Amino acid sequence: MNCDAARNFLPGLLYGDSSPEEAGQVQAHLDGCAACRAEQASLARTRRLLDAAPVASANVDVARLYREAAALQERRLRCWRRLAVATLAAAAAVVLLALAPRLEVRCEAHQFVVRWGETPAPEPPALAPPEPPIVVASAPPSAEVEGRLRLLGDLVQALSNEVEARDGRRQQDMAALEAQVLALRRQAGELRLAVEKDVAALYTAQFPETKKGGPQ
Amino acid sequence: MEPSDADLMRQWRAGDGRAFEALVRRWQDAMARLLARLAGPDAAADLCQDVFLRVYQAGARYREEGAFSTWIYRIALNVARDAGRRRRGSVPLDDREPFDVTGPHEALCRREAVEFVTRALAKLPDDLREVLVLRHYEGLNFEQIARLTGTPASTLKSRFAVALRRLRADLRALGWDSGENEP
Repeated sequence: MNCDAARNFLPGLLYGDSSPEEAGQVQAHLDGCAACRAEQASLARTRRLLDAAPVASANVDVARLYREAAALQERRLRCWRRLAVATLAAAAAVVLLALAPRLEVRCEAHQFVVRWGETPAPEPPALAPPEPPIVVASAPPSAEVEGRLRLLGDLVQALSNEVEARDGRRQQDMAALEAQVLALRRQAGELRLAVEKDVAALYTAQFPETKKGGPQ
Repeated sequence: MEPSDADLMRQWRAGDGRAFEALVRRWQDAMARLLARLAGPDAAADLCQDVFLRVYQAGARYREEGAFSTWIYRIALNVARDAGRRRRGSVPLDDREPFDVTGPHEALCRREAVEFVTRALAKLPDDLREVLVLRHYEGLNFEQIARLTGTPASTLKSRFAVALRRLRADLRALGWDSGENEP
């Protein structure tokens, strides 16, 4: 047995935990190894020093122990109660979340409505309805409508006649005005000719020599 | 003849409160010692109270197939582990100053040895401290510790050897001279 192997057995040898065979082998090594004997002596001194460890005693307060046990029990009960309340609250929240879409609460002008049931599923978006065709007189008009239509037609006709009459009168007025303008133009031409004759006659009367020898 | 632990448990579960108090009186010092070594002497009293509170609360789940001692040890180990987890957020022990051992040899009295061991034990990782305490102080063999912790005995044996050497190294780091300052 070498030193490493022997030293592994030293604590066991010291405390009597080695088998007789192990103890014999270690002792044989120690007999021939001063270093291992010193190690053994050092461990033995350490062991003896361990006995100097404090020797404590205690006087357990049993009454206090009962009080502490009761307080602990109360704390545990409180903890369980809180846990139970929290669990119930969580369960209620889950149920509420699950059922909320089926519950309808509405406040209207004169009533408070709480309704339970299936909410109607949203309808798929409807296609745009086709434009209704414009049907003229698709149904036979009633007598009243016919009367009104007739009256309306008569009014339109009367208005049309009125417009035509006024138009005719205006055309006649225009023609008369044109005739007057032509007559005035004629009169103006005639006056101008007459004035020219008068002017020529007056000139001749005033300046007869000028006509022969020219003016001086 | 005193009733066994199992008898007391049976009486307590039948409604006899005095049986529970008798169990507490019987086991409280052993639990206090164990917890002082696992979690430090300052915390031992409160943790001991906590152990019996858990015993009280878990009494209805106790099964008579196993030994009461195994059951209560297992509860104590769990309490100490919980305390260890809470303690990790506090000031690390490694940051504390080493002992001043420059005085005369006589100055290193037993009180200082207690301090050495307490601090060295506190520096050990939880799994190493557990096996060291259960083997050295409680005198349990590795098979019993294996049943208690659910760890194979071979693993515990290796762990124990590591714990002993680690403790020696920590004691030296704290200022203990294994050759001369032995109490």
